[in-house]
Amino acid sequence: METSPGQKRKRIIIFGGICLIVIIALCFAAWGAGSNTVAKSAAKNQEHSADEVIIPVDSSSSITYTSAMQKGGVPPGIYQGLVIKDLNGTFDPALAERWDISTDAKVWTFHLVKDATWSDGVPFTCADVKFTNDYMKEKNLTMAYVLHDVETIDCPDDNTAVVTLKTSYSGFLDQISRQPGITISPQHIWQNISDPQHYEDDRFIGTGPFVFDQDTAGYARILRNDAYYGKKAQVSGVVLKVITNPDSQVLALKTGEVDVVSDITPAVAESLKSEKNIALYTINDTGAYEVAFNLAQYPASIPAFRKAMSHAVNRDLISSLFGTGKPTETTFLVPSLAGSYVNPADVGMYNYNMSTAREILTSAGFTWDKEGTLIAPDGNVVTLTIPMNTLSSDSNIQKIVSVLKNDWGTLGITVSTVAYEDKKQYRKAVNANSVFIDSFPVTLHDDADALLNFAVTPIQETNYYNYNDPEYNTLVTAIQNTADRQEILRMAYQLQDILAEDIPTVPICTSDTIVAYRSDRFTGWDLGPGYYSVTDSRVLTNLTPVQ
Amino acid sequence: MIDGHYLLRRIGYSGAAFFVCVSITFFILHLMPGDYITNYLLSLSNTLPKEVVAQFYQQYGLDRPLWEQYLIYIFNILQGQWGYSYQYGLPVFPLIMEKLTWSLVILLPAILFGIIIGIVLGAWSGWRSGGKKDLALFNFMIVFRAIPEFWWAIMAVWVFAFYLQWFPLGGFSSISVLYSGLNPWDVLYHAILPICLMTSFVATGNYYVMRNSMISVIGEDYITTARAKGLDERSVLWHHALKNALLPMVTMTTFQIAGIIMGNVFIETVFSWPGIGLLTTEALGMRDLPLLEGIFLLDALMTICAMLVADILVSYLDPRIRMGDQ
Repeated sequence: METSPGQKRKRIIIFGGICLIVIIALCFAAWGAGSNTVAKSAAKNQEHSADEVIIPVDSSSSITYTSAMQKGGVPPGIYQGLVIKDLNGTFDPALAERWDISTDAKVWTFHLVKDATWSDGVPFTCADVKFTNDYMKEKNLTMAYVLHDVETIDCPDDNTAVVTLKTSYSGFLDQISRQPGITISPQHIWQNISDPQHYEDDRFIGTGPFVFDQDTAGYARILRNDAYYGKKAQVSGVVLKVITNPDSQVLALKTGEVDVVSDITPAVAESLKSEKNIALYTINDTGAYEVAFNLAQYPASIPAFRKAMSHAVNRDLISSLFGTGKPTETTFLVPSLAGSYVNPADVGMYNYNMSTAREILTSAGFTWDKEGTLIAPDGNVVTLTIPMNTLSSDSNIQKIVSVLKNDWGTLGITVSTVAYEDKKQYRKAVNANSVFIDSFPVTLHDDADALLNFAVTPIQETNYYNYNDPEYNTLVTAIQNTADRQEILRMAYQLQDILAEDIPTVPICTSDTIVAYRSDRFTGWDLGPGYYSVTDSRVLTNLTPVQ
Repeated sequence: MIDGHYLLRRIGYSGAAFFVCVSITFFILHLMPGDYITNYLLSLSNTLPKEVVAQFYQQYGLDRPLWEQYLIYIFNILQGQWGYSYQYGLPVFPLIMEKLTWSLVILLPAILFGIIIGIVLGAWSGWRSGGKKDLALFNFMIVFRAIPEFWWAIMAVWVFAFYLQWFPLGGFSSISVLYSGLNPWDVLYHAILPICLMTSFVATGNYYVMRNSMISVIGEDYITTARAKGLDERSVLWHHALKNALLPMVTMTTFQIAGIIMGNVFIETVFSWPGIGLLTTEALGMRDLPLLEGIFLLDALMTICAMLVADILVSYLDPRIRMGDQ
């Protein structure tokens, strides 16, 4: 049976209508799902004000908050620890305005800020510090490991916390303040929660310069804490917006949908230079790279081999390929951050010199066959396999490998790479090979505490390099047992001398973080080296709206 | 037609298949190299004492033998407990459902429109195979399909969202959601561009299948008979050729709909649409086993249901196909 054109039109309209209804119904369904997530709201229905800063984040997990007692995420600027690691190897006060250390670095007395309150108005006291330690350990929470060395916390009064460690440890401040560190949680909230593992917080009561507002549908917002005891923020709030694609983040910056984009590439930075109302700044030395040796594997177990290889790393070329950062000429610490901790005697010891590398190898019993292939003292051809972690999106490591292949190739060494997607497999491969390349945050190489990473101690039974020098370990133990900064400095110099001789790793160069921001919206982003996260509460409290 | 006893048996087999899928998924996920705790520990700034590491494994139940973990998992599933995500610290089921809902907002309309457009264009193109218009459309589809999805997605954002500013750059709501709550019309506005793009991808895939199916049908005797009866071309196309050419599409479309559960990582990444695809990718990277088990459990359920539905639909659409003891 034939259908008339009118009937057909009618059918098409009905069909189109049904499709539209389906889509709208789905949107409403999503609205329902989204409304559930809006439950985490403390202070809704305020208008978006011009002095609220909008920052993109690259994953919805970045704004999926659980609770401060779990290792899951918490909103920025809400919680505080006792101290904050500073850029010069010292520490900024936070909930502790000052502290004293016993001469054996075993008893730490923290003098707490007097007028701090939790964001629900309850005063902050030493009881909260003691409770955080006791509760985390009693409930066997994973984050309790940060406080593993703490024996007891006593409260002689509301504003004094006396922390007694199980053993002397001069790096205690470092341990409680750097990734992941520990923040203090309110006793009056948590004492009634019996299952902290599965507790989902919806208020996030903290002492920081911001209070939690809400997270919903790809956004999270924190507001200025007007009752904050320290320097109050000038922005009224901070909105975190999920933009998963880095290119879209840059486009959003151009259109003014967001106020800042961090971690942009040098090429993108160049393209943004001509943009009106967009300014750029560089935070120097936020990352660092090293060619590391596994001393448990031959030929990396031969000190002369490691010395020769450290002369055969063209740091200048690698750094120029990075486009940011600068070559590291020290044996270990990053001068711009570690400052006086760097032992000047060890600077420039292993400059790029292929002739010296050959001489060292020759004197150590290495030979070359007719084809120029390097033969180790045990008679075997020297080939090096460098494990790579493919999950790391760090293209700089590929650049380092390409330079090494060339330089070490001229020494008669065949360098190959093997990629591993999984970190565990990667670590296994690192343990089975002589050389690996690592990138690390500069906080690992910025002061004397960082030197402890090369030691083998009762707390740290091994290290990435399988490096185990008794003299070094003794010095590290001595550092842990003293609080005298001059004494620590003297021993740090000695430790660097030992590292310069043993070469468990060859620092190559640093990299910088480039940040672009809307200069017509806020100023005050650039706080200098060390503050490399745009959501750092110290950065957020420093922002000033442009009127 | 499908026999009642056969249908019951088929449902029973589906249940068994589901159990096998869930078991295999569990063991494959647990035997994958790497685990969440190792990944987490490697992200820390210093190495931890062995007893602390052991405590981590104990806390997540990963210190138990695999068979014990498996029994606990099956027992919990039967009780409707999907566990807690390692990474998010949240219950798995609501987490998956929330992300799945957002994925459905763009994927369900895209799949439906894509199927319809693909069938209509494929049927028309197959009916006129060899003609200039068919060749033009066929080559256009080849070019469109040959270029990766993410390139089209980035171009769409660049042109329509950035330069023309017809659509938002991404996300599923405007910032007003913080002040006035979620607005369905706002969600729709954010969904249009990803839906259009996804529709295009789905349509091209269906276009090829439908076109080939149509080409194979138009040579059949019953088409010649229909023409000999004096029916006009349009009636032959819509009433005889199309109905028969649609059969291969039934199985394909049911699987496409079932495939929605896995989301679309490219579209979700480019359009900042945090759906199930991104969740799965993140969970895989982090080795978030409870979350992965939940996602794959749902995926297995959807796929097995889709197979069952496809069987039933095909038997009803084509009476020549008999299933069971008939």
